[in-house]
Amino acid sequence: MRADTVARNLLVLPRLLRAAGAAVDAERARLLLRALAEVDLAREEDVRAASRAALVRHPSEIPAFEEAFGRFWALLRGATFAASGRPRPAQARADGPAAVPLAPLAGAAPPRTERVVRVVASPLEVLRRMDVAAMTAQERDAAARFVASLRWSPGLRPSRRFRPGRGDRYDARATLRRSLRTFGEPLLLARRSPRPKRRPLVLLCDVSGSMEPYARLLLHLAHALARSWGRVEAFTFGTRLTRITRQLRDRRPDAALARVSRSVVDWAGGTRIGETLGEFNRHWSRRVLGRGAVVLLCSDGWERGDPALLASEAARLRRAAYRLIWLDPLSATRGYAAEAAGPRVLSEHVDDHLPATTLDGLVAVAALLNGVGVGRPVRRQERPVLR
Amino acid sequence: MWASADEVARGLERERYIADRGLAVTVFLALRLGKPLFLEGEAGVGKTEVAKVLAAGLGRRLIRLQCYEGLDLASAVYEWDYPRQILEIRLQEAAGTAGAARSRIYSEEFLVKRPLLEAISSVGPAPVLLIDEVDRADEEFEAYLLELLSEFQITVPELGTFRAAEVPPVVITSNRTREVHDALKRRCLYHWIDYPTQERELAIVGRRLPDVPERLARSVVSVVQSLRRDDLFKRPGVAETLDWAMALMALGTVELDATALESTVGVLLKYEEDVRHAREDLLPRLLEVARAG
Repeated sequence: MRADTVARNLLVLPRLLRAAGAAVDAERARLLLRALAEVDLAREEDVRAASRAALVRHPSEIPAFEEAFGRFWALLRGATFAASGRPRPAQARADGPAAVPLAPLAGAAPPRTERVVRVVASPLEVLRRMDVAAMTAQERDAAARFVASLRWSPGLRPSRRFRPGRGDRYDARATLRRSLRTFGEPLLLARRSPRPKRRPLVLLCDVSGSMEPYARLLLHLAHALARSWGRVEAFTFGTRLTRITRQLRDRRPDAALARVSRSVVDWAGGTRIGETLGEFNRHWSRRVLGRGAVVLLCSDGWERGDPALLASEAARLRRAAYRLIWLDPLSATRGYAAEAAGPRVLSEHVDDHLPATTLDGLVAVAALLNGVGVGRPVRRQERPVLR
Repeated sequence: MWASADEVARGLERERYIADRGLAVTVFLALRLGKPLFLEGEAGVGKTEVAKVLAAGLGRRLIRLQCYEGLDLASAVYEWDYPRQILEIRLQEAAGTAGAARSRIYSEEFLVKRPLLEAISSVGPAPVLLIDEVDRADEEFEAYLLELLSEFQITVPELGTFRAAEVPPVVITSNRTREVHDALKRRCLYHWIDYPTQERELAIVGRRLPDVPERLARSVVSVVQSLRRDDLFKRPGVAETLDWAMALMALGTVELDATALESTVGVLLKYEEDVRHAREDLLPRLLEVARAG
């Protein structure tokens, strides 16, 4: 490749990268020019490395970068692409049949006559005791608003930062300053105590078929929490694990949920809890479960796979979390003694098992979360995991 | 200072670090543009090592700041030596010159310099500053770094401003236990260090541990490469490869057989599940890989 060909076309690269979905701002583009001024433009490998160092900020951007760079280099070689390029992924998905909207589609009223007649939602008192699965779309909206309006505070933890206080740490700096008041005599010892910080909250939401009626409400809850609490990581799982934290960042609940539904491909499908929890444990737990995280596992525990695998993965999840809380929408309908292996195994390996069939159930969850303390985790004796 | 990416690659290799082309170019650019180098990658791929060999290769001092939660100005930047200040006040009082104490106790003599101030205020050629595992520090510290890395100056209110005479080469590493804020990354050149390819890992073992017989080195590298393709809780890094090769040497292993593999697998894998998985399910395959070399 001739160096001047590269030089003349440099700014095509950030544009290609933007088209591939990476946020390339002017500052990065400027850094790209500075970087490329220093390397041999005729060497593809060097141009690639310099561009990558300037433009990429995150490992997840690397595939998009490599593809954009490949196109860039091919363009310089004289390749031509169709004017429209590839269809944008967002459009392609919106047309596809796989997208199951979480928000009700405009104009797609549920065909169940009996329900449709009742446009006005039930009063809150009735709503609170109603099974979420039995609610109409309007009622679910009201329920979502109600859930979001509750106080959700997954607790504080003592951080390693300190503030003046009555703690048992001696504060040399403040003591010296105070000693000036007593003519240089350090009479008053100043102390400091740990400054509390918000615990991270991790939401693992089952979106398999049996959980479908509840999932949307729980995702609304995830969105409300992400907005109000801030430190929230959210994942969905059915047959595979999907991280939806970024999608939930949109301020508007419906837009955020629409983005979630576009990125979740296993919506209303089967479920493999043990395997997906394992995937979470291996690839995400170290990144999101630090700093005393509270985990909300929203699932009916319906597992088709190996119960032993579920047991060992749930046990590992619990060891890594400060507190593992299982929200179980089907606990009421399943009957008192859970016969199925999945729910039984799961209930043995969580710290709390709460029904979340009705809004009242979620109120209880909020109350439990608000009570999660600063102290050490509540732990029962670990049961040995049999394999 | 090195004048091209090739020189960087040669300079690193002299210090027994075998970098791929991408890393060499990025290191060169970081030095040339005076930008901090932000390195991410799995544990044990040699992120920290880059800073060490960079310092050794450039003949500079290495100043290392190990990050941890709650890292604050007092342990990262500077602190006044309070007990000595209090003593000094007493001494001046006894000598009857208490009025002078005020200007004395806030002089550089009572200033304890921590790594960041040390790196900024050192005389002579600028040292290499390593900010290790920045993801372990909290957001408050990251925000402070932003200012430092764009201005390369530190103000001590009682004393004045320290400004780096020469911008020090800065290496920041992260293990991604937490996402580091974009604002910090924006000020840096980014490089993701991947696991090395088979040939490069073999070259690394050869360069670092020249005593390991080539046949054994081949088996070791092949087994590690094969293990990395498995769905493990923690995949072995290059550091584990080197440890393992050393462990096998210490045991006088000439050929990697079932006994040797089974008894030393704990050097490679650090989680009970992974060890069990390797012993119970993977052993025959690994042995085959080891024999093939």
